[in-house]
Amino acid sequence: MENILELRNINKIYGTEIKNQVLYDVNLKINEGSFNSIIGQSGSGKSTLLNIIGTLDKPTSGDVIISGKNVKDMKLDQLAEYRNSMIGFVFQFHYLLPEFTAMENVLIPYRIGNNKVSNEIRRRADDLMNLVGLEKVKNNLATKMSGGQQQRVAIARALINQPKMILADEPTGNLDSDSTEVIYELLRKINQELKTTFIIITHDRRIAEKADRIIEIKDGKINLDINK
Amino acid sequence: MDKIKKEFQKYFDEEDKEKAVVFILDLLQRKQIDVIQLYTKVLTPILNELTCDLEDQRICIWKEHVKTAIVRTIVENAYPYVLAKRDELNKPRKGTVAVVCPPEEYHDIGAKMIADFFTIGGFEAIFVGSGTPYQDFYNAISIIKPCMIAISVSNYYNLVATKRMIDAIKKETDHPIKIIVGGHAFASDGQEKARSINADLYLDSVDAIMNLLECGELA
Amino acid sequence: MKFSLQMALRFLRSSKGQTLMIIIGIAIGVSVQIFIGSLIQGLQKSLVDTTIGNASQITITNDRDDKLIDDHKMLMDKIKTTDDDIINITAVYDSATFLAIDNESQSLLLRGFDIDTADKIYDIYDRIYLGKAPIKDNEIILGKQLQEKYDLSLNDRIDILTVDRVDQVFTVVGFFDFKVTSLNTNWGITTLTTSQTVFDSDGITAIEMQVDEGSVFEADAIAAKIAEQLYDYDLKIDNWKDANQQLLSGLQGQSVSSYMIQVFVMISVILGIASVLAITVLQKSRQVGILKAMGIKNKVAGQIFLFEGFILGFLGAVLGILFGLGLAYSFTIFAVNPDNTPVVNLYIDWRFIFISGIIAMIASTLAAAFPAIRSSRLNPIDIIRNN
Repeated sequence: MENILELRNINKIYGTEIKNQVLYDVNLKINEGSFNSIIGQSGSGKSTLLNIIGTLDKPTSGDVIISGKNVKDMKLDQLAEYRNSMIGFVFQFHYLLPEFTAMENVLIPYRIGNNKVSNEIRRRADDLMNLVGLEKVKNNLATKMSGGQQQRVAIARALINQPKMILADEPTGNLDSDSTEVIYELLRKINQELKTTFIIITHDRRIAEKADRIIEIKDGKINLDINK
Repeated sequence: MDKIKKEFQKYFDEEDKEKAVVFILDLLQRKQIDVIQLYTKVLTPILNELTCDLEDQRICIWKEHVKTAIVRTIVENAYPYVLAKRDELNKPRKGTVAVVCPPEEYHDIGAKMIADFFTIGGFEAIFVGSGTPYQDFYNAISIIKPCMIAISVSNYYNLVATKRMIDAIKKETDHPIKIIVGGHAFASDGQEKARSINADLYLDSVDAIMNLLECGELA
Repeated sequence: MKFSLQMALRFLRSSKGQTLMIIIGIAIGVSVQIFIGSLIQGLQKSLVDTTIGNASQITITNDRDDKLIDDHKMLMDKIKTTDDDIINITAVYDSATFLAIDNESQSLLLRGFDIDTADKIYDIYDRIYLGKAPIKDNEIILGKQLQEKYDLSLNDRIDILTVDRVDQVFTVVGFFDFKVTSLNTNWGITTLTTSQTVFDSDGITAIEMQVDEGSVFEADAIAAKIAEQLYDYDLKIDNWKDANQQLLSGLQGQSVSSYMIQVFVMISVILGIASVLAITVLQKSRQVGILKAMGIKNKVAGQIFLFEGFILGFLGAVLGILFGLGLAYSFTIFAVNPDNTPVVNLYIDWRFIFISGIIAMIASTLAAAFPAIRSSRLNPIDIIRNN
């Protein structure tokens, strides 16, 4: 199985006058199609790591190689394009655009990278809405939904461009336990059906248990890395 | 053995505690099965195959607990037979071992059975189980001073907590102590996993336990 | 581009109250500009029209002893080619004479016009309320006041005495009213040919002309051009601006104050828009953050807010123009003289209105520049980390 992601000697230091090192020489390889969980205490550096994997943040030193391409020397615009097509994000907060309906929100990543939304894409969006169980509310305004529904829209949105990787940072953090159940079943199902690679930061053992691999980050280093 | 397993399975699936317990204890008493066979060929496989075929998944946990409780009762009641087996094999005394589960690991049946194996093997097994706060545990270790700690882990997620525990034990104890690990969490790549959590030894069978020398030294 | 436009529209639609507020703000600014601008322009036009609408704006005379210009036809042709804005050029033979009726006499400025071309300047035909314009030799038309004073009727004969004491008899063929008493009392209009015949000359006393309405204020520059063209001829060239200095400085003062009002109104509108749009960027920072995480380019993120500025400017300009015109129109209805004519005649300069609209749109797009830059520089990490 090919490596969808490779991190080589990643270091991250914040601040100019007072320096704060958050990641120390992190090396990591992620297999394509795998379902991985990252755990660790608050402040351990896991969110920073995920942001670097997602190219939202640049490492102070080290290489990030996604699908064989080193993103180090990519210009901002190139990076944005790459991110748009390769990576889907799900954060603790759904970040849906409140001015748009659920369906419109799902289509936004596609519209960022393309001029016209074809019927095929609309059908894909419909299928995704069905996959996440929201066909009934797809034309609701994003604000007119429950928290669990909103997070499911966010997941559908992350998938519209058929990205290679989904990066999720505590996707169930803001949800009640019933919604959490639904979400973690959904994530695993997507991984099994669509073969999308998942890297999920979670405190929720139910998600971590279902992962193929648990990576524990402690004090900016990988403390434990075990496959199921 | 298959016949025994089948009959037991019947009572087990029906959750008929009385029939199941009486059946097994009767077999033990009539020496038609010994403790080791009971644990390894009947109880462990049945526990590992525990699935929930119900349409309504919501009472699966209930059912699992009820079934596990049946096994627990059997294991508790088999203790005299454990001691008898130990005396029968008459192995030399090999030291004290504390058998424990990592925090949040509530499947302690495995640990119970392992403790019984250690007993049979000539060790003084102290079964601690799960849910003991770290600090109590460390304090107890420093007083009791076992030369081994056996950690049973069923859920691979709990390996994270196990590593934390192992690191802390090694740091806090001032006498040499061997850390042994085992359980369903180590089902694939057990040696590697054991190594990455800083355990000293990984045991995957009863024989492995029996073949241990004093204080966990390998033969 | 299309995407950022649609985002801008949706963002604006989602906070209707705020959007409406900005549009009204711009509209008020634009309407003030248009109202005041049109008013001042109308006032100025009125004044200028009254002063020199029916008079010569550039006059060419000769300082020679006999005060005559020779070869005027050739000169007039030359002048016409000097500048496209020169219109209504006419040759004039004026002479100071005496009018004798019954036993009374008074001085009379006998103006010999080529009536057809002079009419373009003086509106002679329209001013004749009785009779007709002079055509044949020794036909003359006189002013209203003279008709009343001497109780004259059509076809009456009058005596005109020249400075050389030559007595000419003229037939009065019509009466005019220039609405200015001094003109109606002191002028007598006859044909150019008559004047030339009476004074036995081929020359003329002056070449009079006007310039295109839009170039009225450049009369002095045009006069200078003519002076250059006619350098060899040693003629005197006067223009209305040199002759009306006080009026001009009054007009200028008005213009300056009008422009100042307009500029400051625009500045405050721009500042208002910029501050509201800056708040909008803050309000929408979450949205921009996630859009960037999803791969929107920085430039596109900025474009969204530029488009917001542009759309607001456009709608504000349209509304402002309608509003401004409405204000101006109602001004003409309510601000009236005792005889119900408007105090100030409104002058709608469509070019001015169009430019005001364009300026409003450019201004609000510019006002959106800072918010747009902020949006394009926004780092998605800052948004995501703070939640």
